[in-house]
Amino acid sequence: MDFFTAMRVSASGLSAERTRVNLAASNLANAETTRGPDGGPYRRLDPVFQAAPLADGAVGVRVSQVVSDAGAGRRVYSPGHPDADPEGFVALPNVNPIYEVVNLVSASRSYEANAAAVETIKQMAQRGLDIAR
Amino acid sequence: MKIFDASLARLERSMDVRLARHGVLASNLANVDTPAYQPKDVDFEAAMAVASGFEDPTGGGDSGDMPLRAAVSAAPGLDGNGVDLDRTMAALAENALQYGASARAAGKKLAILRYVASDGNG
Repeated sequence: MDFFTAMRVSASGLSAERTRVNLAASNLANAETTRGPDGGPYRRLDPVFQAAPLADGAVGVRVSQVVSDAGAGRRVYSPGHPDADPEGFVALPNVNPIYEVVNLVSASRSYEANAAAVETIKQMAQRGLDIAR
Repeated sequence: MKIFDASLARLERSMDVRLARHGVLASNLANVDTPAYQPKDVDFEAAMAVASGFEDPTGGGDSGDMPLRAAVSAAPGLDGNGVDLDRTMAALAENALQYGASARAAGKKLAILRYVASDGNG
């Protein structure tokens, strides 16, 4: 274990949590999007976290894939909408803003924990260097 | 009491172990949201025992041979992740303080050597 391995571990955590925040933000931004990438209503995205072993028994984390939630979305009666079906219903995304905000706060806390670990390893490196002063 | 005794080597080893422990704790923090991840910790006493008895100041030991044990974990949630964020953060802070203490002690030891080497004028 060296200082830089410890930093890489924390950096992988920061990166993964940032991806999670990005996806939650995408989901919130597209909460009403009726024309998603595949033509239909937008489907919410979730990251899959996977442990990624590094040197010396240190274990980082990575986002192994981003999965799209297949759950059913809302159907709202709005006959004037350009994407309404013949009965006048519009299919909206399966985004629940409350769920996304909770996810956002949780990701932000985990991000802070990793940032604190980076701050700690920096202090330790400084203490080590101070020996030679 | 010899000037070149094992205390510097012992301090060096303790700093090695503390650094490895930081890496393991940081791994736990990085995987705080990874499903089924089980947190680990470095067994500090066991790691120091591996090193005890060596008098060779250069025999600091490799940091790859740290004895690991399962960390005290939170009751796993539905995703099977056992990382306890609060305990891990507390352990991280404690570990860094202990590292600083060892580093300071090593610095003092070297300052004594410097003092002696300069005939008390250091």
